[in-house]
Amino acid sequence: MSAQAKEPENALLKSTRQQSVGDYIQGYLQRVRSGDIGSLPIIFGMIVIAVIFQTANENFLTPRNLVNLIVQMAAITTIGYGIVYVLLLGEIDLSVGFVSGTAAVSMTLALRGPLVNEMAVGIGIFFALAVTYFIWHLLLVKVHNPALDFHIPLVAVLGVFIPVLIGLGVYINSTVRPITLPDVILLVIAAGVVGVVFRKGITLRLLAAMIIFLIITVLVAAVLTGAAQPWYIAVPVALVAAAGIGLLHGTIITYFGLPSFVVTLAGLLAWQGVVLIFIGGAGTVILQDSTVLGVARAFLPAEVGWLVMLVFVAAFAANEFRQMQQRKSRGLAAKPIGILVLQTLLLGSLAAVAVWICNQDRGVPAIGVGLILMMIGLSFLATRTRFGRYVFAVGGNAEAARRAGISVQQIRVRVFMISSFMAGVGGIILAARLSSVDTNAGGGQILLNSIAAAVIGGTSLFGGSGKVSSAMLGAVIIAGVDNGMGLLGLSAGVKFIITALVLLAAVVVDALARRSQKQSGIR
Amino acid sequence: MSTKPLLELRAVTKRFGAVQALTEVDFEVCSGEVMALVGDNGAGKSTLIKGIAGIYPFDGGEILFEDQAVTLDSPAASAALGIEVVYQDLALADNLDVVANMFLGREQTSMGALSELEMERRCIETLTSLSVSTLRSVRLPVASLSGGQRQAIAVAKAVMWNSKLVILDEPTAALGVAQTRQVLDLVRRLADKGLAVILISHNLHDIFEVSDRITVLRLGHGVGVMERRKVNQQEVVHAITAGKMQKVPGMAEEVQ
Repeated sequence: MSAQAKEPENALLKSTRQQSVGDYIQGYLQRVRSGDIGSLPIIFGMIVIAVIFQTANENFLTPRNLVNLIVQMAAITTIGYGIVYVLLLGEIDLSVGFVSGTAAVSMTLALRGPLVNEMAVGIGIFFALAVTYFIWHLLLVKVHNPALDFHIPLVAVLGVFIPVLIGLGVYINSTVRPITLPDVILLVIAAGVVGVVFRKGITLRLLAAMIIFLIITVLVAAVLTGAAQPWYIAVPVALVAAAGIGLLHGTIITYFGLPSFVVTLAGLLAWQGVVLIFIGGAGTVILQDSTVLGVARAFLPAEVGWLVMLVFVAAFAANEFRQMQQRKSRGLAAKPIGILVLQTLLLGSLAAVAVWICNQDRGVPAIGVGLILMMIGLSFLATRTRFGRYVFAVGGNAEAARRAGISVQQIRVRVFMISSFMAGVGGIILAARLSSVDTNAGGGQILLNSIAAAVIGGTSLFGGSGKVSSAMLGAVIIAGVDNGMGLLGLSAGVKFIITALVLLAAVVVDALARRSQKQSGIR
Repeated sequence: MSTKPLLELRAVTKRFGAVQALTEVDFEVCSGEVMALVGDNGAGKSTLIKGIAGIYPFDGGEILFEDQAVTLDSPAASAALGIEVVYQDLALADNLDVVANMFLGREQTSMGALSELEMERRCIETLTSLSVSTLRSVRLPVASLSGGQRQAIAVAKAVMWNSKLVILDEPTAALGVAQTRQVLDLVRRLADKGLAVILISHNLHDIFEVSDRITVLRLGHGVGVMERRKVNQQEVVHAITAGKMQKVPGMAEEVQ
């Protein structure tokens, strides 16, 4: 009895004891045995896929094809990053496909300039929607924030008319000449001023709505004038429009308490409509801007590729080492230095092999580096910031989050903004790879492949568990299978069925692992 | 136990539409004591603690906290005074680890990033000071903990923020014998550390084990306050069901 009373006393303190390399490896193996298998099945799957396709067609593992694979997976990986956030909440976003299309088409048209007539109608609808939404949003704030009631007329005047006037000014001005960087800076400052004036008592959503409204106004003015815009206008406008679409979806979902499935299903239809109207009679619009094309077509020179790799690996090692030191200095259990060295060597050699293979061909694709940077940024947001913590909390137990004083609605809205924004980025990447947009931009397999990428990577559909990096791992599988079957010249029907089987296999492995985790009491 | 009450309610009332949930109820709790709150279903226990927690503010009556008249009109107002409530469902996020749950909504950050190490250290400190002993690691997801451990985490979460009054709603309702033991020990330790504890429970056995005084409510009226040492379970049951306090020997003096 006394031994039993003493032993648990140490249990928690034991967790602060420093581990040896042996302990660490033992702990890892124990976690794997009890079902916490992490990315192991995916890595196993990658090897299986590589072996199968390489045996069937010797071109699969060539440097040329592997570089192609990176470019091919870029769009669904990017969209998948956003999907992971939505899945973490236990929600779904079915609109990302056509939101990516809308962003790509908006950007391409803004770059192209001369305008087909029917599009004016579409833009007009978009414009009207934006204004309606914005005014409605003001009313929403009035409902939610009694402190603001007094200022409503003032807010309405300044919040609606100033942006309209500025937009009008830009519009009139731009019929004479195209919008330039100074115009944009002016607009951003104007938006900032409007924001600062109403900072007190105004929600972030209202501020965001104002800025988005402004930029939509610019978009409208820009496209209506028919002047060709430079990439540094076209791309941000398209991305902010995409984020605005997410704001719209998220607000509808939270304000009316609707299921995200239905709202984003409506979004899927609506934004497909917008793509059709925007493209109008043109059918296909060619993308010619060399900067935007470079998103998917630029390759790093061999030396730069090596340098970038070194920087990444060094940054990883430095970050891990710093954390280890900090943990030790606070008397917490830290990763043994031996493991750190081992991990760095492993990462370094994997990265070196990747860079070496890419350099056999055209070099490391710029978008490959882009995918890793986005992954690092979004992972940081998910795991190391308050916002990310709240996303997990809302996905795990929304009621607990609410009682902890977290604004569940705000988190939801922001997550849908992230999802749509990443869809916009993905759409631009895809447009750059295809060097054109057409009436089916954002259609086809993009939506389902992006969701499948996140799910295959191990992100739960029920919320609260997942990793941003899972989208990349899943995308490798999806794009790898697609690419390999393409090399074998299989028909579309066979491709679909095999992709379906891969998806099922991934979900089954995940379910089995979960069951085993449950039994061993980890989850 | 100090003699001056930390929190004192004088003749508080609460009405929900046609239902008079509380009628001129007096209640007090001192620092360092466990005050049990008992009563049958519909006696007004929940309404009383929700009033104290600021969720359903009282309609009338006086509230004194540390001898100052205060208004508890929002959960934030109560939290600012150092009043924390541990609800029956605990409100923990199963997918997050112990540290994340303990700091949920009050994370420490430096330059926008979570200060995980600092939070982990404080978490271990708090749990150790409460002698929460069966936990293997503070980095385990809450889903993997036992019912007693979860209750302990929820209580630790409530006391970590310099709280002065902790309200526990049925903390042992879903627990086994050994786990109930752990939680009751924890409740006692809270009081011994100088916190005021309000314990709601239907289990008189538990109440007699940890509480110092017992407040009985019946049909929205205060029946009275009893010193635990001077009464037995039968007398309390009698007060809960029949409300005839005046016939119960050993009753504490009425609160003015």
